[in-house]
Amino acid sequence: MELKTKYQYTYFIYPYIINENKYDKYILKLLNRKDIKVRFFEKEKDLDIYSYFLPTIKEFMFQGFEFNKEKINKFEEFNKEMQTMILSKYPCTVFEYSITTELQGKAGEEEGIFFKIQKIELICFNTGICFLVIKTNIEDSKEFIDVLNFNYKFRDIYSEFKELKEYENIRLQTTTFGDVKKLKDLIHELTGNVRRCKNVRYKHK
Amino acid sequence: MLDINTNRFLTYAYTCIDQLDWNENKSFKNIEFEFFKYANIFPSSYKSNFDKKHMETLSKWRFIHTGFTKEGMALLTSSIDVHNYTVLPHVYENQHLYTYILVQYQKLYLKKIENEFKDKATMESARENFIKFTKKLWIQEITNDDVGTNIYKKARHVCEIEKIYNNIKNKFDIAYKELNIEKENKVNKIILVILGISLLLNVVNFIALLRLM
Repeated sequence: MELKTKYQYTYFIYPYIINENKYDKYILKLLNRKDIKVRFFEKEKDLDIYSYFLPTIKEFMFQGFEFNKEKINKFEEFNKEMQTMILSKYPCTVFEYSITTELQGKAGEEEGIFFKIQKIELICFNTGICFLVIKTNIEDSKEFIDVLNFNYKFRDIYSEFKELKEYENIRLQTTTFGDVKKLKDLIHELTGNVRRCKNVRYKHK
Repeated sequence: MLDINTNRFLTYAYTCIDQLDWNENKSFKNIEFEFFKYANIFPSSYKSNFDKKHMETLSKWRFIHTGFTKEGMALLTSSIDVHNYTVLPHVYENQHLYTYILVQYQKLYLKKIENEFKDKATMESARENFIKFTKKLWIQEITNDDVGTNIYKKARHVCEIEKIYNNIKNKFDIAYKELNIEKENKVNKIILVILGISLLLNVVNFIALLRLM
């Protein structure tokens, strides 16, 4: 049965943990990157989210919707250290990564599933628990089987044992990054190469 | 070492298929196996039989089905309704995505506490954090939205949040009962020693009195 898709996207979520005592340093590191900016949740702009969640969650995950255009402008005038101090007091901060699209064109072979990365976000909690969130969608295909195969393959893209799965006849290529390896390098850079968490102390604020 | 899989991403998928394949005349049953593969993140070549009883799904609407597994969440819908490819994708990647992230956060947070608890040196800190978690994050309701409430419940159920929470709670109860018994034993021993000394002193006094007499 060959199902056709009308619209699709897949988010891939990578949970990672940083040392809670170094959360401030991590925020500062992100703020110092020119390709990362803070996502502010505003009542008017994010009305759907605002009206959906109960106050406890709004307070916990969305900076209490305290920010408006004026406060955001003021925030951006502060230096990075001050910005870090402000953001650290919130239980959760969301960062957006600016994707600069590289040269278009399908590199190398024509076979394979082509996909685009639409968005990369980092959702960071002040306990050190963070999530790297990547939004993708398949290009040039309306086949549902491509969705199945893409989701199956992409989720292991950052695997240490990825080479074991190379034999499977599913190839991924992206027009957003030169090759998949660059995406892996970026993930490595943003998440601080956290593969394991040894003796991570924890303190809920 | 925290027990999380750092080799594989969680998958959170949305797909709207053409109404030609799923409509009033072509029921969901025709594509159920495709949905199963999609929700379980299997490749298209997967052919084994499946037991639908073992999959958590939300199928409140005829043309929207959501599958929940430990490795992700997947929504499949039909273009039979314009809402399904205009409004729904937006809601799914905002409100519901943040709901999913919250559940994953609760799970990781509890695992961290569980991990801390294993070490005697950090047990007290783990206990404090568990109490704080219970006060601030042990939330049963995050929205008044009916669908959202169901999604939250299903995601928590699949991630076994209640089970992990209760395991930790039981471990703490046992550990602290044991600790209290140990403390009591220590106190009892001290009392015995004091009584012993007191008795000895009384005996010495008595003998001294007798000699005086």
